[in-house]
Order: sequence, then structure tokens, then C-alpha cells
Amino acid sequence: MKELLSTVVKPLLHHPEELQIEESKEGKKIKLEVRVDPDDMGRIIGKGGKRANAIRSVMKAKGTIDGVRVVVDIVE
Amino acid sequence: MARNKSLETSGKTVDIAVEKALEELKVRKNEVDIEILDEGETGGLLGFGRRPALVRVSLKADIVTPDDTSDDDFDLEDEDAEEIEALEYDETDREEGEETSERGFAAAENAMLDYFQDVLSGIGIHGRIDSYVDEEGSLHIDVSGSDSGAAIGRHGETLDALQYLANVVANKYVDDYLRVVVDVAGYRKRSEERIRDLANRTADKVMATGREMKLKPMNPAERRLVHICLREHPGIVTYSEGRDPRRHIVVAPSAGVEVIDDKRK
Repeated sequence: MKELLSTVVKPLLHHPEELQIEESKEGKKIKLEVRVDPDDMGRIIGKGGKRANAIRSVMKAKGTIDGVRVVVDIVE
Repeated sequence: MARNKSLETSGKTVDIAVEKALEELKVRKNEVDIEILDEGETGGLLGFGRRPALVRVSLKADIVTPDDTSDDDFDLEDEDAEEIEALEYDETDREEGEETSERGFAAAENAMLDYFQDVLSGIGIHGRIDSYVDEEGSLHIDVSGSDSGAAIGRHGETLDALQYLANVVANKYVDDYLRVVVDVAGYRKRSEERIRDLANRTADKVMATGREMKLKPMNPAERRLVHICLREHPGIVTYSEGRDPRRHIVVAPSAGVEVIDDKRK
């Protein structure tokens, strides 16, 4: 999960080295907490949350294959 | 050296928005990085669904012109990540003192295809990827293979997300706007055909009954398709009403109907 999220997100950022992802699992739910450089917040969220939603859709696709529910939290 | 100076501008098209920003910053296109925040929507008949393009234009930390692009670019100290990344991607496709738009596109295409492939295999899909450029210059990526269904998702949600992200990444590396269209196992093509069918059938019913009909909520691309499809249909007008994600098209008989553009509300 974590690797895919990193693959999806990194090219969107100006400071990819600051990307941090924490993965935790509760039963059938996987939670991914994402932290980026403050300068990159807009680049990961996008206008009206468009990028964040696209990122979540892609993660959900993997969740469907793996049989888990994926929650992506972008932490400020 | 002005660092991190950036500006967001909007305009009818991406090019116009970029032009505005360049004028404001008093720089040339090769001195900035352009990020397309919203490609906008030119709108269909009568401008329905029109939305301005939005771009963020940032001054490059160190201005690298094609003439001084050489190996020692990699010795630049304290560059911001973006610049280093851009140089790395250009490395194979850019030669000294020479940069054509074709090269820029090839670099963007390669970078985007790499990204797309990595994301797809990360999801767990190992289908075949074909790509080609159509007459309008749009880059098409067609994914096929038995396990590719997961890349479509419910109502094409995953497909749209993949296409959106591919567009974001592709345009990170080119100045000119490169449009990417992603399809999986012909899903987009078929759903476009279904929408055209639905539009024509609805128009026939409206003509037969003389009463207007509402279509199901659609995204801007789908609504645009309906407007274009019924543009030439005699006796029919189409308009959109409601707000996203419930925004939908109304197909109405044109006689005695006043067209209301509620986009301005």
C-alpha cells in the first residue's frame, strides 16, 4: 500500500524527499497518513481536492484487489 | 535571484493563463515552471460548462536556457528538488543547445508512461499498454488484459483518476499542454457510444411527446458529449442544470423554450 501511494504521489511534489507515509492496519481497514512539505500541500490536494480524490481512487482500486478498505489521510 | 516566486493566473485556455502570468512576471516561458491546476473547459454549445483554465507559474530557481544545458547542470548546488528532477528527466532527451517542442513532448510522454506503468503494476494490474497520438495531438494510452478491470472502477472512477493523474504528470515536463486520454479495455469508447445512444433516444422521445426530459447526472466531459451530439438536432435544445455532482442535462423541445444558463448563479 505504502509503496503504491509513494509511487502515485512523489511525481506531483516539488519536495518529494519530504514525503512521509505512515501505514497502520485495523482489521480490514488500512490507514495511510501522508505528510508533505507545507509548500506541497496544494500539489497533493489540488483544486477542490481533485488530486487528493484521484489519489484515493487509485488506492481504492488496490484495496479492492487486496480485499481491504483504504483510508488516505493527508495530515497538515 | 528571486526564489520560489510564483503566481496563479486564470484564462480562457491554459495558454492564455500562462501568457498572463509571463507578462506579469516579465519573464519568458523557458524561465518558469508551469503547473496546470485546472485545464478548464471551453464549453459546448452556447458555452455551457465553460470553466476558465487555472495555472501556477513559478520562476525557476536557476534559469536554465537550452544553450547552457550541459553536463555541469548536475553540479548545481542547492537546487530545489523540482529543478533537479526536471533535469534528470530531460537528460536522455535533450542535447546541448537544442530543444524542440517535439523533444519536450517525447520526454513528457516517456516520463508519463513510466509513471503510468508503475502505478498500474503497483495496483496489481499487469495488462498491456499501447500508446499513440491522434490527429488532434492527444496522447492515448490503451490498457488491455484480463486483469485490467480493476483500472476502470465503479462508473469508471479509477479510470478517470488514472487519466487525471497522467495528465498532471505529463504536463509537469512540457511547456505546451499535452492532453492524455486513458482507456481500459475499450471502456471509455463504449461509454461514449452509450451516451450518444442515450442522447439520441432521449431526443426522439422528447420530439414524440413534446415534453422535456432530464438525463442522469454526468461529469463535464459526458455533458459536453451530449450537447455536441444534439447540437444539430432540429427541434431540440439541451442545457445543464443543478450543481456537481448532481449537475445534469435537460433535453427540451426548442419551440417556445427559453434557454437559461444557470451557470452564472
